[in-house]
Amino acid sequence: MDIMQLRRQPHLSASSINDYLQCGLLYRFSRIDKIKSEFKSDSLELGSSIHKTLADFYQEKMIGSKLSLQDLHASFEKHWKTVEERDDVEYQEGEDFETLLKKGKDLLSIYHEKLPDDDFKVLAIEEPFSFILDGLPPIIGVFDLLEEDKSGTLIITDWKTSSKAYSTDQIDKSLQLTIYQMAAKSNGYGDRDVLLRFDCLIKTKAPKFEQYYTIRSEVDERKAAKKIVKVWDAISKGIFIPNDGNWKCNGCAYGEYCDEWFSKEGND
Amino acid sequence: MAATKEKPQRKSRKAQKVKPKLDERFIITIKGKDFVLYSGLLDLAHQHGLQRLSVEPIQYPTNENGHEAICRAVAESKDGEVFSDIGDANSSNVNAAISLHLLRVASTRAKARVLRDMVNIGMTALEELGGLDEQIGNEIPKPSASGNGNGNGNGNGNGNKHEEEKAVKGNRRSGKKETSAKQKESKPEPSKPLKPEEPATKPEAKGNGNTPKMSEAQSRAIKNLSQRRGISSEELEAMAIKIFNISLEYLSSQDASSFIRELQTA
Repeated sequence: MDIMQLRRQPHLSASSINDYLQCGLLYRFSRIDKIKSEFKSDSLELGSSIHKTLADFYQEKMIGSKLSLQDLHASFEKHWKTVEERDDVEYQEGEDFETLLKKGKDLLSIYHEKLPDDDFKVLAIEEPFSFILDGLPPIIGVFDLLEEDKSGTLIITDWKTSSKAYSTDQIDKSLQLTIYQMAAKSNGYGDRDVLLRFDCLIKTKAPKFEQYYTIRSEVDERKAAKKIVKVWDAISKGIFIPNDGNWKCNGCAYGEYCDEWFSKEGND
Repeated sequence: MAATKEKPQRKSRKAQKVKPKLDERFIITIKGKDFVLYSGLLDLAHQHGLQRLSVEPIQYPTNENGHEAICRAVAESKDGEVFSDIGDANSSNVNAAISLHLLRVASTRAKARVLRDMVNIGMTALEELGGLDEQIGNEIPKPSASGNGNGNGNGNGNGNKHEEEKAVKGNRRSGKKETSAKQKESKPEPSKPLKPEEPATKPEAKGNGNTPKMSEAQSRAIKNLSQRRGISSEELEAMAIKIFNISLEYLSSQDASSFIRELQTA
């Protein structure tokens, strides 16, 4: 399964659904109108480079070895270097390529130190998935990490880089993780016990690494399915309500388009 | 080939006889106090030659009785001695996480108490406790053994004041046996049995035999979820014992799954 191929078809994904729920206009600008965002945030790029580094880390684990801290740093530096030449990355005040290089390495040092040893078998890294809910376009996505323990329990992990620790609701009510469980069950893991996990690298002054385990019940799955159906129904009807009171508006890469939309006369 | 006949070495029967002893792994220490696990009492009772252990609900939890379950347990030793006691459970003396399983808790408590009488263990059974914070400290007398002995002693083992008031007079901690006739006499008038909240099944220790044990991932998830909810490792252990009648580390895979669900909604 190739994620690029999957993305060419009409589809939904955990992030697109979350975008819609966060702000209908954001969804429309990015996914319907396909407007190129005004900039890429440095946080997003840092997260992306760390993500690729962790994928390298687990690639090694998959073949039975463990990357040293030095190797981990080298891997991160390689991925982060690709950002250096780009002019579309907007750094927050006080940050630049070098400060974030250091920040990324510090985060990975904590990760390397705190990551608990386990006997889990790595089944897949960055594994694309697709599944169908009745009457909807395919729901697609990528599992960051799929592992199993000796009893066959499946552990689905999503890597996160965050500015603060996650709240209980962010973990236990994450629609993304519910969708991942639904995807796993629809893709050959229906008979397994499934545990879901966020591996969260936290960019506090003293960087932290926290793992959060959670599960989803059948009720959670049913609720998520209903929500997704309603989201798709609204998208299909062209309902894109702006959520301009959202705290995320400050860092939104579609700010100008949003202002323009509000200043236009008419309903579109 | 000539076979040499070796005379089998036989240990004398006397040497084989082992004095019943409470295994230390069934004693847990919480906030400096020792508690015996129900599974340990059961183990010791079998060493003593337990012949019969039965339990019957004498009050189902209903709205009318404030959702209080009461069970009577009867144990019979190999010598024909009969012991009897009761256990109760209501929302005020069980952990919130198991408040839906009152009948089972009452059953376990009754059995724990009757087994303590039978095997002469003064230590309170952990399963007799309500919320740990509420119970430990004020009401639990200092145990007679400090976790390294077999727990036999003279402590009154009264970990549940509320329950003790309901216990049948004259058969606690005196070491006296109760005849079947006496048992009938002391049986309280049962409430009218209504529809039970839970089947009166006997919770048994799991995680051994052919049942798959809790997996590593499940164990990590349980610890992670409990930490996130501010549940201490001691409280977690107590919850496992109350819900599943067994120490956390011996949970079966199935029980671990259900424990994770329980913790997720705690």
